[in-house]
Amino acid sequence: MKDSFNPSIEPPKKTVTLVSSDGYDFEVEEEVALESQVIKDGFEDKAVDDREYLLFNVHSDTLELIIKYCEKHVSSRKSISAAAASSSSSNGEEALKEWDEHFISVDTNTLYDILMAADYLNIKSLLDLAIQKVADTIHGRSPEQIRKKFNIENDSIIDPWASE
Amino acid sequence: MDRKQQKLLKQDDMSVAEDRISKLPNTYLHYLLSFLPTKDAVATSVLSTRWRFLWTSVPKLDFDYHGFYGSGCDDSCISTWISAIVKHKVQELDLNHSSFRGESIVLPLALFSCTSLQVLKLSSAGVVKVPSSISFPYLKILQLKYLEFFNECLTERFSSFPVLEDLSISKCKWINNSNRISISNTALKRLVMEITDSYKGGNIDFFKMNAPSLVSLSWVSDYLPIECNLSDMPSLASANVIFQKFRPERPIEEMGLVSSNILEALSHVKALQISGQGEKPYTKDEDGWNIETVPQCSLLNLKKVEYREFDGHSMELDVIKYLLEGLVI
Repeated sequence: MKDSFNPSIEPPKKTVTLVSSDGYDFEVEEEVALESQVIKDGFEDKAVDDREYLLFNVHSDTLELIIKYCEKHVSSRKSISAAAASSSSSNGEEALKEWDEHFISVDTNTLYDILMAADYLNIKSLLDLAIQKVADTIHGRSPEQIRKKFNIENDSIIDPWASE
Repeated sequence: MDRKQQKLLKQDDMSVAEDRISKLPNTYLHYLLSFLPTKDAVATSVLSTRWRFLWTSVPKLDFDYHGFYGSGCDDSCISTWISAIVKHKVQELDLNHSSFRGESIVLPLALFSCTSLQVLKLSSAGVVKVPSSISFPYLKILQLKYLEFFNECLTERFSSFPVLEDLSISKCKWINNSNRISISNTALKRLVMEITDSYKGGNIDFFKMNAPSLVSLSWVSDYLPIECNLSDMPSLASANVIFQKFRPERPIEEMGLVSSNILEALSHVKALQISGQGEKPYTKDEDGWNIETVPQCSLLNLKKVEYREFDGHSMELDVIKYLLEGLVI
């Protein structure tokens, strides 16, 4: 059993349980779970004691990363808007961008897992982050380099670029 | 077995390299390719049979001249490309063209009757020949920059774009006309006009606008027009109006009337920024904004006033006194 996140300082926050495809429970704060549009849709209609979501397509390893991403974005948004309200200067957005970049610097397998999970849970900003990362990997590389990077087997009968 | 052990096992499994990217559903791959410049997206067609036709479904094409440099492409290619994308019912076209030989770009006639277009952005260092018949039934955003028009027919046609909401005209020139612009559109919400470098012939002497739905207006110009006719704009919330120079060669009364006409038309705004430089500041017969002509009651919506470059001149004090009397800040 995974330890619950944010081992609580008062006041106790409302939580939601997310269950990974391999059967692990993750207890997260409501606002963190609501980063997922899929969870958000119809959230209010669900009874409070029934706020458990079985995520059949998301492995616990990936879910852990996704929760980390959502928690960071929820807390950053808060501090950015707090800074804006007190009109103090903040480089919150820059810092978050940097954090995102670091977050998504993972091996290709993990990247696909994040991508699929972000789509499954409908977290647009994370999906775009993952897709952008794949695009950056393709950009400026030769077909041969791309094949090697992604283990793509060239099954074309004629490779029009082979003569080059 | 706990998660850590499982994790180790799983990593062992992954030692066999797998092509997971090709197994992604088409929707992901189309989306992925739309993040790439078109040249890179098309180049993926040689990766494998799985990738061969994927790029053809990408909803966006991005042609950069530098990517085609030396490939025998000249201005006539652009015309052919535009004709082709118009046939494919393009919704958004952003054309940024500069001819090194100073040739004018000939936009194909088909572009001006492209019924699928929703966004059109044209930026070019050349003359654009606009046909007299234009039809953009779904055009929402139109941006024109660095263009030279032979006639006023494009602006005259704005009224026939039924859903146009955003219009931006920056640093354009009108050749062979009497510096006359007339903009009329009932759907228009946001208008940006930047009329500078007027010594090159882009000045506007006669300006007429009928845009009753306008919410925001930004109007930066070298000169105040000689004649200005603005319709009532009850929804106008913010306006930014800057004239670099008033016209010293025109009678002061005439220019005062023009400036007060403009202020009257802006009377519903909540946020207003105006600026203008008189040729002979600080004299009693100064030409400039004639703020006293604005009906006081119409400034009630104004929430904040900022007066910059205040020199304490009596004329300025008069204006501020007027503002303080008229406004409920």
